[in-house]
Amino acid sequence: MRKCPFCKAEIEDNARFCLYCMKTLNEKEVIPPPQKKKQWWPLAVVGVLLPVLFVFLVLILGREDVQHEESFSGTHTTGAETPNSTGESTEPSQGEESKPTEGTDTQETQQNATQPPETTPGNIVPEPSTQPTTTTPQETTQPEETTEETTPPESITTPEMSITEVAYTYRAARTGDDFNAQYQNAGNDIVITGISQPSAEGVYDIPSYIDGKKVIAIVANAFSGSNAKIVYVPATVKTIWNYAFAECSLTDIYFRGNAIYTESKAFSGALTIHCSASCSDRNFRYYKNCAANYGAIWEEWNG
Amino acid sequence: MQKDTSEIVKELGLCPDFQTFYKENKDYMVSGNLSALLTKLLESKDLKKSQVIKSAELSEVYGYQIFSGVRVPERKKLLCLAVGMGLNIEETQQLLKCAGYSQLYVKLPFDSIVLYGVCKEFSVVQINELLYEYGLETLG
Repeated sequence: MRKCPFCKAEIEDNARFCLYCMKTLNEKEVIPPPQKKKQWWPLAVVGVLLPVLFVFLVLILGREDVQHEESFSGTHTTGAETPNSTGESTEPSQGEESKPTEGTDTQETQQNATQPPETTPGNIVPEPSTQPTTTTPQETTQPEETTEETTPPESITTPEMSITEVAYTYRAARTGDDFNAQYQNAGNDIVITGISQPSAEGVYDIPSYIDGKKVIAIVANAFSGSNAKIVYVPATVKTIWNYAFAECSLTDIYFRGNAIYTESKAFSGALTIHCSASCSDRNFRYYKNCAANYGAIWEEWNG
Repeated sequence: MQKDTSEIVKELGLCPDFQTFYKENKDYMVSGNLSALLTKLLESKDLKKSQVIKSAELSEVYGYQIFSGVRVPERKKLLCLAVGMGLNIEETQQLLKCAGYSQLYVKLPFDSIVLYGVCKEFSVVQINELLYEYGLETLG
């Protein structure tokens, strides 16, 4: 048995498609990308080697031609004519040989001559210096933009956000305030149904696991009529029923994760909803809507 | 990711409204495209429609209509097809689920005989004989 790469369901080893998600399993399609990578190298190597070979061939053939001309002239002409002919033949050849070298020299000199202009497009050199100057304002503007992006929700929801206080209360809640919760088993998970012994200061940090079992929901009337002021909801809780926090003086609720199925009448009265930054955008929006419904304040929270 | 059915049922119970539940679990729903599943099974087993229809003891026209999706077969005919294709238990159950029928249930006499037949790779005729022996309705 192996696992389907798409839905992780267990399927047979030789299965051509997944029975459960109906997707075809093409193992051949995985192979092509490395082939594409391989095709890169020969092209590059050929691209580099061909011009080099071409240049070598031209040089070698040129020299061979010169030698041939020398040999031919040596055989056909007489001794008196040979020096002249050889001189004539060699001179132009030397000239030819020297010309390209001169040409290269001239090219080099031209290059040398052009190099200063290239450096003078040191016109370009000042340009980069101008570019950073142009970029730096962009860089400076970017943070401004980001700050602007972050500020609007604050300006919409709350004027200020004090992170230090949040961190302090969070620690206090974790260390201090003990309370005993009533809960029921829902399969392998746990649902909080009420409080048997309330906390002293009204700060409740709901644990994510009780006896090794996930806390997945807070049931209706679980905290109603209690002294709950500040409540931390763990990431494991997905559901908060209607009237879970009814008739209590709740001022702040902190979400550590996405309580996706929070019902519309879960809270009552004005309170501040703090939503963890780890929540997805969708749920941010959801909590914002929640907050709008209650007349509650919505805040981002770095918890 | 595959999600346990029991987990989805639990979420269904805890969810306040169906819309959010459906959004969350849309990807885990069974797609009801029976003909697509049948053709995929055919391809994976290198079978021909004509072969399968013959060994499923179905009429040709009806068989092709099932494969093309024009008709949705009743449960017994679908079981005939499953036996004709030589599917294993898991594949048969998935086929039934996809068509919206109940899975084969061992505690029902009819289903248990069909399951036995699927296990032992019986032909449709052999299963029918066994069903008749126990005074039950036959397939096909």
